[in-house]
Amino acid sequence: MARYAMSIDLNRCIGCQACVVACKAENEVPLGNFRLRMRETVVGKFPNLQGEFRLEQCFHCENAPCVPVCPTGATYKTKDGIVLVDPAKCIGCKACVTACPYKMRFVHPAGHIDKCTFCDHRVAEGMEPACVETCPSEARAFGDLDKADSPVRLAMAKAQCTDVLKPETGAHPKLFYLNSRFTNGDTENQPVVVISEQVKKGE
Amino acid sequence: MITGKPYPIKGLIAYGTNLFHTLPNVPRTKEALKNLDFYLAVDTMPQDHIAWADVVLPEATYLERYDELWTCGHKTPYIAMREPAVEPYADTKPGWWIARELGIRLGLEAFFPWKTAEEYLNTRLASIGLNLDKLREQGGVVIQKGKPWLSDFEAEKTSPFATESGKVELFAASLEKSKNKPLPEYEPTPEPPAGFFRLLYGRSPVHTFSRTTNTPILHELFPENEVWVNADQAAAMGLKNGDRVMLENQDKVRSGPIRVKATQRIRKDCVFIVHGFGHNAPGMTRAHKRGASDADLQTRYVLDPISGGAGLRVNFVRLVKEA
Repeated sequence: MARYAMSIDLNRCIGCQACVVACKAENEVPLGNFRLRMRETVVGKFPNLQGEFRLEQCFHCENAPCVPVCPTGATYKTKDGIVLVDPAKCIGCKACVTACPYKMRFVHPAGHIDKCTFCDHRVAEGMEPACVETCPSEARAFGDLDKADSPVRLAMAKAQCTDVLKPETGAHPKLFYLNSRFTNGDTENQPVVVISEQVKKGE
Repeated sequence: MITGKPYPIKGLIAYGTNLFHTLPNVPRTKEALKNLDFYLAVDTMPQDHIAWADVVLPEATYLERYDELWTCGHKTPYIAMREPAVEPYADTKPGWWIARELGIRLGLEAFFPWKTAEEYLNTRLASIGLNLDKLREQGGVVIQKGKPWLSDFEAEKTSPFATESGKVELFAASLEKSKNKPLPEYEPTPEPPAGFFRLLYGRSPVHTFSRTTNTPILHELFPENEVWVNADQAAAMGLKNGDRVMLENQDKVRSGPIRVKATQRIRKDCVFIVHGFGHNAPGMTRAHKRGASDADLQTRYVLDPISGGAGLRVNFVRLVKEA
C-alpha cells in the first residue's frame, strides 16, 4: 500500500516538454494525442513580466470524480492510489471525460479512454515514471505521500509554497505544484496559452 | 570559393551541416556552391542542400550508430560513449563507416587500421583500463572527481590563457599593438527603418537546430515557428494571434507565411522567430514550407574585426499581411 503522488517545481521547469515526449515514447501514445500538456502563463507588460510553465496530466485524485461515474468499472483506483483505465472493460462512453475537472482524458484511437498512468508499469519495477526520469532540470519528484523520506515529500518539504489546480472541486489531486510565482497558484483567470491547442491550430 | 583566393576551392564535403540554414546570406552560399566541381553531402535528413549535391551519402542517426567518445576535461572530467540502440534504417551508414570506406577507396587504408567502431573504441578505452563492455556496465559514462581547473596549471607553473600576462585580459595590450581597441567599446548598430522590425532569432527547447523539425513527435509538439510581435504593437497594426503574414526584409527577400504570436515577451522594435523552420526541401515531408527561415532573411551580416564572429541581428523585416 502506497499513496503515490508527484510534484513539479515551477522554479525549475524550463518548459522544454521533454516529459511530454518521454511520455509519448514510453507509453506509445498515438500521434495526435497527448497524456501531458503544457500551459504557459505570462502576466504583465513588457518589460515587467512574470510567467511560468505548468505541465498538466492526470492528477490521480484522492476523490477521483472519474471513478464513480464509470458504468462498467473500467476506471478504477489501485491500492497504491493510481487511477487507471482497463481498456478491456471500457466502452468509450466518455462519462469520465465529462467528470474530470481537469480535462485530462481523451479517446484513444482504439476506442477506449486513455490518460496518464503514473507509468504504473515502471513503478511496479521500482522505476520512476518516464516524465520524472527524463526531466533535465529535475523539476519533477515522485513517490509515496505516506513516507516522509520519499522524493516527493522531500521536494514538498523544501518548497516555499505548494498548490494544486482547482482545490475547490474537493477532488484532492495528487500532482502538486511547488514554488509558484502566482498567489495560490491561481492561473485560472490569467491569460494562458494551451500548447496542445496550438498544435491543433497549426494543422 | 567565390573569389578563388588565396587558393581555389573545387570540392566540398558537408557533414551534418545544412548549409542553407546554418549560414546567413543564402544567395551567396548558392553562388559559392556553383563554383565547385564537386559537392558531397552527408546528412541524416533530406534537407535543402542535398538537392545541390553531386553525391549524397545518407547517414544513420545518432540512435543507430557508434560515435567518437565524448570527452570533457575541466572541473568535472568525464568520458561518455554513444552506441546504437537500433539497427540503421534502410541503407544508411554510420559516419565512421563512411569515412573509413572513403579512405580505403582513396588508397588511405593505412590510416584506418581498425575494421569496426567497437575495435577502435576499445583501443582508445584500453589506455584507461576500460573497454566498451565495462563502460556499458557503469552506465556508459566515467566521471572523475573534479578539482578547480587552475590547480593543474599552477602545479606546472603554466597558464591556460594564451595572453601576454597569462591572465584573463579585459584590457589587451596586444590588441593595441595591432591597432585595435584594447578595451571593447560599444558601437551602436543601425536602428530599423520606419515600418520595419529588427529580426531576432533563437531556439525552442523542443528542437535541435533545423534537423529535428521533421521528427514526428517533435513536429506534432512544435510544427512551425511563429513570429513574436509585441502585443501592443500587434494590436496597433490590426494583427492578432494566429494571423498569417509574410516576413519581408530590407532587401525584399520574403519568407513564410508564418503565424503571429502577439506577446508581451518582446520589445516593440523587434520581432523574434525560432530558428530551423521554413524548409524548402520536399523531402522534409512534415516540415516542408512550415513557418519562416531566419537564414533566408539574413541577407546581411557584420563581422567582428577582431574575433571574426558574425553578427546576424542586423536584418530588418516588415510584416506583410497575406492577401
